[in-house]
Amino acid sequence: MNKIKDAQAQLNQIIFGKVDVINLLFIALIAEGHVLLESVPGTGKTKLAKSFAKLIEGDFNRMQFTPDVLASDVTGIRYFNPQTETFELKIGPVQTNVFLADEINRTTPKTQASLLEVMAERQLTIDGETVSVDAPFIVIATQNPIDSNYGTFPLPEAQLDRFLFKIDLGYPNQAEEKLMLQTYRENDPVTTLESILNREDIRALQTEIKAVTMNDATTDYLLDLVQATRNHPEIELGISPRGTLSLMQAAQARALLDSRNYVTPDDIKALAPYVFEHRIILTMEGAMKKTPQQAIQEVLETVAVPVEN
Amino acid sequence: MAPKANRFILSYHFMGEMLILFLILYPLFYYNLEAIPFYAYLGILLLALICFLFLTKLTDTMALFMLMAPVIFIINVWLKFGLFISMMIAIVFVWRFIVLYREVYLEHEMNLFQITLVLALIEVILFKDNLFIIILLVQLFLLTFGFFSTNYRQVEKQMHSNMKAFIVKVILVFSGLLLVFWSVGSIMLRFFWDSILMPLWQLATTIFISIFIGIMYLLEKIPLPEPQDQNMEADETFENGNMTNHNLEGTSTAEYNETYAYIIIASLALIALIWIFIKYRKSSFKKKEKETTSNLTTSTDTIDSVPKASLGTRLKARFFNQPKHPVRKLIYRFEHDTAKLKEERRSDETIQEWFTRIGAQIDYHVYEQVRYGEMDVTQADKKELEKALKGYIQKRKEDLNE
Repeated sequence: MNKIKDAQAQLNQIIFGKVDVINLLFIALIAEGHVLLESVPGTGKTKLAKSFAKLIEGDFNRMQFTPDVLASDVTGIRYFNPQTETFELKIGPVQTNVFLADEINRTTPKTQASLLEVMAERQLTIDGETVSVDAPFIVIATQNPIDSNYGTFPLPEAQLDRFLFKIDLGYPNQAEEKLMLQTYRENDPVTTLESILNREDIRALQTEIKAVTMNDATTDYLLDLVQATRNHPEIELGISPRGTLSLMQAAQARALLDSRNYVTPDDIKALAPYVFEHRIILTMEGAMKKTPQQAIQEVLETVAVPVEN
Repeated sequence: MAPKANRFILSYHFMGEMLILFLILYPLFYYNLEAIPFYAYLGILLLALICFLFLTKLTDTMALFMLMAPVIFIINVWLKFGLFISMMIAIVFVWRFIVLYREVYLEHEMNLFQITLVLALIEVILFKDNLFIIILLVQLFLLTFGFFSTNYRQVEKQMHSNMKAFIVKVILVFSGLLLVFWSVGSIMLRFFWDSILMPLWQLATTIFISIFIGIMYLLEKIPLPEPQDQNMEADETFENGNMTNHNLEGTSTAEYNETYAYIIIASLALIALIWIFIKYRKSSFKKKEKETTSNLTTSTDTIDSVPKASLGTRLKARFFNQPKHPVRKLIYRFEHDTAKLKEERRSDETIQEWFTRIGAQIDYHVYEQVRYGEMDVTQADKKELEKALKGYIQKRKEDLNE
């Protein structure tokens, strides 16, 4: 647990004013989830992902998604090797521990869909052959806001549902930006970053979260939130059972990082916006009136938290 | 000094308990006095309450409250309650008031009503007196009115009109019930007693007396009386009504046996009822607790229709689903106390969010361990939390007074 704290501290020295975002990245890592980072260009999405990957002693692959990237470029291909005169399997960059899918919404839906299997099942099927991907495995995808960019392909619901969190980075405030200028004036701190967490540490934590309990009251609260998204008059598509599971696992990870062996409604409530936002679809009328964030806020304000009265 | 807001709660709790005391003392009144002194008892109760409340304004010293005991005793003797009953009433009045006064949180409405109901039902069968129904109705009115009045400030403003309407309904229903009871109910009740209950009761007592006499005969303690005489004398006892003197001295063996039979059957019935009640409460406790949570975490058919837990759900939770764990109880009470300070937790707030909003720097992790971790905590942790919560309430009250 101390290593996680050290890693978080290191990352906070590189990306300023994003303590919550950094915490969410580690929660996703422990909960075996994937993260979609979204914000306007230049806010440090790629730097955050690269720095995070560097803190983990494991394999890291990055792929710049463009419209001409093919599905086989991501997952791999079976090709004919003239030297051996046999068909050989060449696995793509996705077989790694940390996979950075940069600007994922710039590639075509077909290429985006190539990530579905590996993200959900931690395995790849290439030309009928299944290859598993070793733990830990996390996909960190970045995307620019769809509305503000031409030539983008919005991620389909099935793809979005595979991301544990969607995190909006946003701009740092003036004080944070000033600190950033001071830090980066002489050199880039990413270059001096050293790995802190090894694969065994992460696997141990991933096993440990299974022992984090969630009692009936907290479970009911989680389920009530999910139900509320499904019954909300302005939400057309509510949270899927996968989303429900994701929220539970994320809450367990949050509890573990907080040195607790039980989940509280605070865990659920704090993580729900990040888990729900990309999973819900508003009705046409709802989309005209509010954003998904506002709809989720309404859901959170509607459902009673189990305390005493 | 007791907080002002608690005086009203204290008053109706005290009244409620003392009505139960009256039911407990009823057999003693019945067998020792010419008539049942209900109004005299009510008078002395109100007088004692006023004196006690007056004393709470002057002092917190318990010795002064204890000095009230001889005064109540003397008045009781003057009212010819008899030495034993007078002493009992005086001691219990003072003892219960001190206990209730020391309790900061009084929420025993449901328990008081349940006890009254059980006692009144037992005694209505044993003594065939309309007075028990009146006591039950008075108790119901007292507790309901007291509860709604004290909780008026705790519910949201938009519910105030509903609450007012409900209180008016309670008063109207209470008045209606009394009127119906006086006009039709008592006749119906007499018919029910005479044609259904009494034959059944006599059959039961005859069987029981026969068994009792059989045992006595076997033990050769008393001579065997004639069974026919017993039934006749039993009838006479009921015919004579409830205002006659029933001293045991000078009664025949059959009457003596019958009295014993009544007492034993009543005791057995009471024990059976208590046993069933405890069993029922134990078995349903877990279920109820689960229901509370699911009721409080509202199912949302539409977002706008259920903004918060409904009044009915809250009242149900208040009456039936109070937490049992001492740490949970502390937070439960703290929620009620902060409601009086207009700092109540919103239903969508977690305990962390709530404490942050009201600026309560209290370590709530002990509570989380119990509530969500289902772990036990040490007595020291509990005490610390209790101290912190009470300290906060005290401080806020002082701030408000300033």
